[in-house]
Amino acid sequence: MNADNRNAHSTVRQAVVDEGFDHLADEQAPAPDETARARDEDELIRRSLTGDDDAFEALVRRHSPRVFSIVGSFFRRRDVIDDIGQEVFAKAYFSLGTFTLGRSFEAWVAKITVNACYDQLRAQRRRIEQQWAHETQKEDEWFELQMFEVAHERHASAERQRDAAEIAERLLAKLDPEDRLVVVLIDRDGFSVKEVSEMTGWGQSKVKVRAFRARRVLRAAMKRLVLSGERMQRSKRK
Amino acid sequence: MSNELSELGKITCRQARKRLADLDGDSVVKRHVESCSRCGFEYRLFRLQRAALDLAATPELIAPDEYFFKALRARIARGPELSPSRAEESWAAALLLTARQLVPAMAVLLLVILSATLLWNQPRASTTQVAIRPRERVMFSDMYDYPAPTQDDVLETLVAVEEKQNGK
Repeated sequence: MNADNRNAHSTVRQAVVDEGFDHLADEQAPAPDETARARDEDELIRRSLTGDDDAFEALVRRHSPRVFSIVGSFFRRRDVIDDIGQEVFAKAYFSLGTFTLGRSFEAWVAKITVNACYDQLRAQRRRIEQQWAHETQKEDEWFELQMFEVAHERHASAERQRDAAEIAERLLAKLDPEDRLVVVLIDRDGFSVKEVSEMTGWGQSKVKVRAFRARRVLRAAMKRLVLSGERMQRSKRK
Repeated sequence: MSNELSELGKITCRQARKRLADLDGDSVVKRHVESCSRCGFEYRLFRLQRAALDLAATPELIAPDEYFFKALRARIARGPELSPSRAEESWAAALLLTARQLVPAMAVLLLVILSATLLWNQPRASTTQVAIRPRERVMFSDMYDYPAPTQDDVLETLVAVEEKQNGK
């Protein structure tokens, strides 16, 4: 596991939990600086609603690192992450009238972000199905074997890492977008079932079922990968 | 069982598998995974799953640059629009999806059409039989089961009646 990556994302998770989902935690009185920040944020939202673009930009600058972190959990390409980030804030801008002042803007934006990622995953899945429909099982196994090797090399070259990322993407593309969304948020970013349920708007049972299904599919894919790797090694020895 | 447990670090395989994520900081689980081949294999699969999740994500945290803010301003200035993910979906993709969703409905429709065609092509019952009311069919059942009388039959019958009347 990439330790730096994990640390970076656990920080993100902590930030979102601390600020976005504070209402899910035990009822605690907010710290004075949090209250001041919330008041300041409400003021920025009020000004944005009157057409003050600078106020909205201040909100974007404040929340964009977290939005980018969530999007970055699902996508690698910079242009895709930028596009989704823009989509999230544009949607937030045009729906700002529906936001309830006094509630967590962070949680609201996180919800929009997760939904935007979900939409993108669905669109991507359709494209991938069309693109890879003609590839054979043999090619698939070859790709997976490459990933198997790369995943075990800590200091793999950038090119090999790119290849491995592509293969990981192909493996994850086998998951339903809903399953993928849940497993990434829970197993990678460390969100709880309750938090994911809040972000997606799905029931907790659905989130649990999706996570279970995703893990089962991934485990089966990895088992196949490991076994084919072992087969390949045995045949090389002979 | 207890011997086995003590050998494997006093933890069951079930407990160990639940705690695979904490392996680095949990020496008991680590010992168990090292000594139990099945749990070792499970840990290997677990690591690969995590590797796949990490590899598919961006390797480092990306921060928005000034171009992002410019582009966002331009986008907001354009007004609300269809989200790109939906707009990007081509007509072909939409048609493919619709077609896939319609497959079961089309299959049922085809079955109904085939059944209707088969039923339609079955030989129809003769008009006379259809026209007969059930009561008549009971009373003169044998009459309608025979073929229609020919001209000779009629003549024979007439001759027989005439002979009877003449006392023969």
